[in-house]
Amino acid sequence: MKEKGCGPIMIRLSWHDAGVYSKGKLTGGCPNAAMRFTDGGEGAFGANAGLPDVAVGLLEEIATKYSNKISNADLWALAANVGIEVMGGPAIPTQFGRVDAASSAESVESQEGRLPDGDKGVDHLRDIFYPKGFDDKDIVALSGAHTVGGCHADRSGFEGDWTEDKLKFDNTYFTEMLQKEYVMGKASTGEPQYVHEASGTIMLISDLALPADDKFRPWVEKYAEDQDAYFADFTDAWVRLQENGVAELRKRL
Amino acid sequence: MLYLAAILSSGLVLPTANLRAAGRSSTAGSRAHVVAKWPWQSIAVDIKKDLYAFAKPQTLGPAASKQAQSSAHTLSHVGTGLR
Repeated sequence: MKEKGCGPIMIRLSWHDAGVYSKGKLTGGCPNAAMRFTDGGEGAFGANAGLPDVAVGLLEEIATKYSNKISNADLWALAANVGIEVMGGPAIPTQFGRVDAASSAESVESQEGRLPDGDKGVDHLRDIFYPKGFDDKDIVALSGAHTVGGCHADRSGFEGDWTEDKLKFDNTYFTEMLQKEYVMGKASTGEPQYVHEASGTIMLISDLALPADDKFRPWVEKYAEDQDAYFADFTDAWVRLQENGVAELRKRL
Repeated sequence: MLYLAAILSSGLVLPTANLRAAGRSSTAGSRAHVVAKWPWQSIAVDIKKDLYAFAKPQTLGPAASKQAQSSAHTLSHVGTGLR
């Protein structure tokens, strides 16, 4: 995983599997690996572009090897947590018990209102994350996962990496966000995004909305100064995200 | 030691009741010995070991290999998408 740099896409796979959960105006959703099915539902959501083919394909051999021992949804959660640790991040405890969807029909109805858009601001972030049980601190901590990976024009429409070492899980998302000066630009697709011209790193509108907001900014500053605090708060929020909507969890397989 | 670390970092700990049923102590010194004898414990560790290594070329699944070959992206590029 470390050699091939697959950690970030494993994080995205687990996040988008679990991130459909909501208990606000929209209800339901849970990590159930419904993205395995591409005839409709979550596997066909635009927000999930690249996940059913690339990420699920990367895990195919292990999923087959342990098919009668671990659900795909549990495997995806575990793979993300291994990826975070391999990239230098915190060791995340993994509980098991997620039940796989049997077909695309067990998907949520739409990505709208469940998964965030990178071209929107703080109101949108709160509209998406509050109904999942997260507060402002959690939103900032979870956004810090952008410290790894990058955007691809053929998936999200955005283009570029957030930090200068996209395979190192640390707090540089926050330090770079505060230290660098970004200018508004466009990806090759025309999507608006901020660019740091000297290094070529990017930030999305939803990223730079964080330090611009009075309630979010203190957490951005805290995590930029204190990586241990960031790791602790990220772990807390991330585990809750991975377990949202799961009826029965257990510590063992 | 790595084996034990992997078990502990997975949050996999034998319930005390089960340890008692097995006639074993739950002291830290005996934990690795006990865990090694319980098949359901080693499954998660085996999976985790495979996950650490899975991106090596010989362990890539066919779908990913096909994607990597047919795409203009390099494999490392394929693997770096958070969005």
